[in-house]
Amino acid sequence: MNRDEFNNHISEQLNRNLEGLFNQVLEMGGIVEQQLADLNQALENNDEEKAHNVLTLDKLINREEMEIDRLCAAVLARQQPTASDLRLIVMAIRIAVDLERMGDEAVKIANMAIAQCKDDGSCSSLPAFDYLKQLMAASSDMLKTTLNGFSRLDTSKTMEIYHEEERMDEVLKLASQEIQEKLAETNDVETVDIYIKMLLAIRAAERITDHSLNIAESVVYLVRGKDVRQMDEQALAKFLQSE
Amino acid sequence: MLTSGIKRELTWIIGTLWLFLAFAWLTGWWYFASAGFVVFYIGRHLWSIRKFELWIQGHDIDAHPPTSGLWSELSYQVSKKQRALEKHADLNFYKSEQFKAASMLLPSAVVSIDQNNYIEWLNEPAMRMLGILRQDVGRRIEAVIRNPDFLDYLKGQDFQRSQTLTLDQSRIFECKIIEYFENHKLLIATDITELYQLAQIRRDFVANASHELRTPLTVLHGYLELMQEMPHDDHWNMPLEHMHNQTLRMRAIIEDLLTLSSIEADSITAEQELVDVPEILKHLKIEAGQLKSDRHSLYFDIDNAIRIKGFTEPLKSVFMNLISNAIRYSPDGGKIRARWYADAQGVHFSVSDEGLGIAPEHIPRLTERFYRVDKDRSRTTGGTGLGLAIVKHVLEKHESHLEVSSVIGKGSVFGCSFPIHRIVIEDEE
Repeated sequence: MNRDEFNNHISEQLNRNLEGLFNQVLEMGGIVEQQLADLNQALENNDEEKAHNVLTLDKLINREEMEIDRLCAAVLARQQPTASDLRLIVMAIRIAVDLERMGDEAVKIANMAIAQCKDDGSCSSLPAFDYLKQLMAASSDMLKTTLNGFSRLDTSKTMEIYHEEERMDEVLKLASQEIQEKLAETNDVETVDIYIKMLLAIRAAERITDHSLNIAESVVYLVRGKDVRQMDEQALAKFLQSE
Repeated sequence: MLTSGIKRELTWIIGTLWLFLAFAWLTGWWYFASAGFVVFYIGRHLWSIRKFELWIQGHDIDAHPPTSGLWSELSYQVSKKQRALEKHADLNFYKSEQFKAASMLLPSAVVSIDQNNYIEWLNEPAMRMLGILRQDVGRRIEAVIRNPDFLDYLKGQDFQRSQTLTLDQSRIFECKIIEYFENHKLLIATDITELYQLAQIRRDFVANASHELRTPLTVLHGYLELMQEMPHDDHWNMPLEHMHNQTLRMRAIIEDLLTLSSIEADSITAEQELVDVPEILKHLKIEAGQLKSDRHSLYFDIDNAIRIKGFTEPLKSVFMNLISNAIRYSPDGGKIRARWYADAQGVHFSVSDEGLGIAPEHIPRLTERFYRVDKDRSRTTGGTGLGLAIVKHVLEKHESHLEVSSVIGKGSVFGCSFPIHRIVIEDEE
């Protein structure tokens, strides 16, 4: 956020608290970004260590979420901010929740990867693995774009994220179809188990992209002061273009 | 001394005074003429002041500097000074532009941040490599580079070391923060992806090659042992013995290479444990006793109370390597003294011998793989050429490094020190 954004209050304390909150959210976002990057590497190289790292980072993310809640409550209780400051606080809580969920979804995928590594197989031999990789790459990119948008209070990339998310819905459909077909063919209980785990992992990856979009919508609310969650595509595009 | 301003003014006064005197003499109006002179003189000054002021302010292009007496000298001096200042400013501007252009062309990303971590300026590679935009100037660096490792590095305030970062999934950067200009910081990031990958390939290659060599070597070794035990001509005794020894040596080299690559590959990520160094040294004393000849005498001076945090097996190989080197490179015997003691700086291990010693030019290169001080000797003394490389890597993992001092012909001292925070001292009951 621009330096001036936090300098327009007479209360020095409020300036500092808001800026601290803002940076805390970005720091938490950074950890989730790292977590997704680790997860990508774990999937690509069957790196069990990296997958375990994902689980460790999740604990950190949970702690960050609590810290953000605490900061928000403290500012609300002491300074009762209004307008854009209030929006920042409400959205910080929402974004933290979304980020924390992303962390949880990442853990689901990591658990699948660890189980697969333990079985001495490689993840890449699983059905629909290409789709999973595509989903993961998209979620990393989307999160990065979204957080950059948040840090710059810039909503110009929101439509991109919107379209990307819709594309990923399609990918999820295709991936589910492929797994369903494979499931219909097999009778082996263990294989079925692995396929179902894979299905869950793909769902989790798609959920991460959903949460990215949620954060992007929160940023729009923060910057523009209008809730865009119920808008359809055209209305959203029109609203974002109108200055 | 009269300055040139006063000289000019006096010239002007005397000049006009003659004029007025001539006028008064001709007309006889002496009072009128002297009053007129005073009024004219004051009026001229006031007019010049106004003109000078207009000229200095420079609002009006038509404003000319006053051209007579003291005022002309004054305006001349002022304009002279101004020209010099302008020239100086131009030069500074040129220099700063030149510097700016140079910083833009640096291959590394350079970002300047102030004491509160706000971005002040950045160069073009920083935008390309780190994804910082021009509009991010004035924002916090943490908002743009959110990588947790980077944040730790930034908060850590320990800018002696540099930090390796993985950004954008695949690019690897070496980041270094340098403090400069009071509280400002310079963040310099270099893309080392290719270098990193090359190092990775080298590590993988060494590990794989050593691993692959192990099996054929075991087969060779097994058959050689078998052949030695089977009935054969006596003149084969020597060659078989040699072959047997050389396969043993190759096996040792491969084992060392594998150890080295596993240490390098960061596989010591396990929890650090309490290492009972005195206990290890006690065992090593027995092992060293088997290595030494009658001419060597071993002295162990160990403080039994000091233990450190670290990795047991790697440290054991460090101590073993240093002690066996001391024995190996003292062919004529002599005292070998191993010490383990603590002082205010930390805890130290050292091994001194009275052996061959090492020439100073070799010391910095001792820890290189397969580096040999004396190419002929090494084969007779055995050893794999990897011992000190292993020592170096293990010590790096323990925030320590190898310290060597040596006098050729007199002997050498090899040692290492561990920082205080690793020490665990227990009272002996």
